[in-house]
Amino acid sequence: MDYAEYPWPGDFPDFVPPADATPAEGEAFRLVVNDPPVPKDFVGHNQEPHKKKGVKLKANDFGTSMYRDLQQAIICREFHVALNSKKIAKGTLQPFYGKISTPNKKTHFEAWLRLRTGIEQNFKVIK
Amino acid sequence: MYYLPETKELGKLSIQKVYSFYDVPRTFLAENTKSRINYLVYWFAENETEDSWYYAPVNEMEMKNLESGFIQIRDFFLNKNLTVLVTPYDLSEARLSYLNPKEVSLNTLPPAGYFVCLDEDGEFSVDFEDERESLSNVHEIRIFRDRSEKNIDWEPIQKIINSWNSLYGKVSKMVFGEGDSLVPYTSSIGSYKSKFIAEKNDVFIGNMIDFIGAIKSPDTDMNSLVDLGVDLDDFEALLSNLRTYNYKLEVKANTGASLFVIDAKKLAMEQERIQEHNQRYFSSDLVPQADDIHRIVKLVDCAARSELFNEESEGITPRQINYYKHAARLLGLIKSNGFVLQPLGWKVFYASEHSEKMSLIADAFENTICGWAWMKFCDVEKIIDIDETTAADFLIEKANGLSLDTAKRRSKTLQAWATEFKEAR
Repeated sequence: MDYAEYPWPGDFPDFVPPADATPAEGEAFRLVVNDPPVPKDFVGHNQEPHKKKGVKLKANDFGTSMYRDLQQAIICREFHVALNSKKIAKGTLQPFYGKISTPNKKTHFEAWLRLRTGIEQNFKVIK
Repeated sequence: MYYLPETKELGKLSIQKVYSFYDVPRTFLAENTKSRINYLVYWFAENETEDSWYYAPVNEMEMKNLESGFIQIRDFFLNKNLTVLVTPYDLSEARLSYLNPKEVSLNTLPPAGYFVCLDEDGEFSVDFEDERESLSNVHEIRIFRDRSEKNIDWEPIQKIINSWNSLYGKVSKMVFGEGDSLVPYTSSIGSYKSKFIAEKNDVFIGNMIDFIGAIKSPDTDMNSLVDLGVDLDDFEALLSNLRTYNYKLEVKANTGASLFVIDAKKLAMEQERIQEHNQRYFSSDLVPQADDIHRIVKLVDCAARSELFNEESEGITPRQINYYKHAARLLGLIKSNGFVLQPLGWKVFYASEHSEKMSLIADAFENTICGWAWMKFCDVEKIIDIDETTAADFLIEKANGLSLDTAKRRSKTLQAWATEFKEAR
């Protein structure tokens, strides 16, 4: 599908999202700053918390970190003291939101998200 | 990569292993490509413009222990000088600073209970296990000679370990108000290595590091180290044993990091200064804390008649019972290895008059290190001539390892005894 009304962010290079990424779907957990979540809570790592510059940014640098498993999201937040103040939001991904990577063993995956999809309205802070 | 800059101090780094990942590697092993020094790196803060990271140097043993998953990640950052690297997102120059162990804010370190784990695909991650024995309260000591082919003798090992255990007990008492003892965890013979569980491990090791650092400065006033709780008599005994038997003592963290080595030969100047200090001051262990002198007389009676002297018979706590037995030992009334009278104890028992008993105990107190030092402090020749109101000032000034509050509390015993001795004359 084209989803022309939901463009990719202008700073995504040609290789983002990567060719092996699949349409977004399923339950996901995301660390956010705001309750309720706002669009800024879903920007890629290259813009969170501030736009980063880099000579060789990789596809992951444009992704938004998410977890399939709540417990892993909790471990991530509690282990990294820099993330302790963040909240955990739960939502269900839709294909028009963008594309995702295959989750690793700890259920972490990257989501490359289109603009103006209203994804933040589909996530609720649960912890 | 903004998060792994090249700096003059750390050089060019490459990431060897990633243990936690959130957008970018957040806990990882970085190696200086030239010097091969390895650092365990942990992301501890972010703001609108930059990330902040701790760099802790780690040796081969620590890397092995980290990846074995038996030692929590937090421990690799404790009791170490840490490098703080601040990496701006806009790729402007990274800033570097250093923190000694006391300057590190503990709530910026990885929280307790998180361990590295390795899955079947060889991928590392971080897991939380609050049930797992973390071995956080363990340190290892290694007693060794430079010429390692010589056999290790048991007698000096016992003496050195006794001194080490006594140092631990005194720090625990000073800082926490209660004595404690090391518990052997595992030991192996080689050089002589042994691991000890110490309930107050971090404070003990931290205070010993500070103490050893401080005594190396010739300007350090030994009295200023009192808050560390390190007993100078015990430390002198440790140095003396190490020197006599030509051993060195290395202390390692549970992670395998070498924390410090006590080499008595290299500390000869420091030993001299401690000896000089110890001749003028005395250990707080030698201060009695048994306010009621009449109960000491009763203790002597009980020992002579083989009657019980315990919390039930006296209606006081077991700790107080121990204080009275300790005081009786200091006075030379009972033996150190049991509830058995010494000759002086029998003399007190057989004395017919109460005043005679008190006079014998007063003489005994004059001959203790504490009593003698107090008379010198007041410049008197008999304990009955002493100004009992000087007790607190005397202990604050002359007794090693007593906090201000403890010195004031202990002074009550000295005051009460001096008053009783005077009234009995």
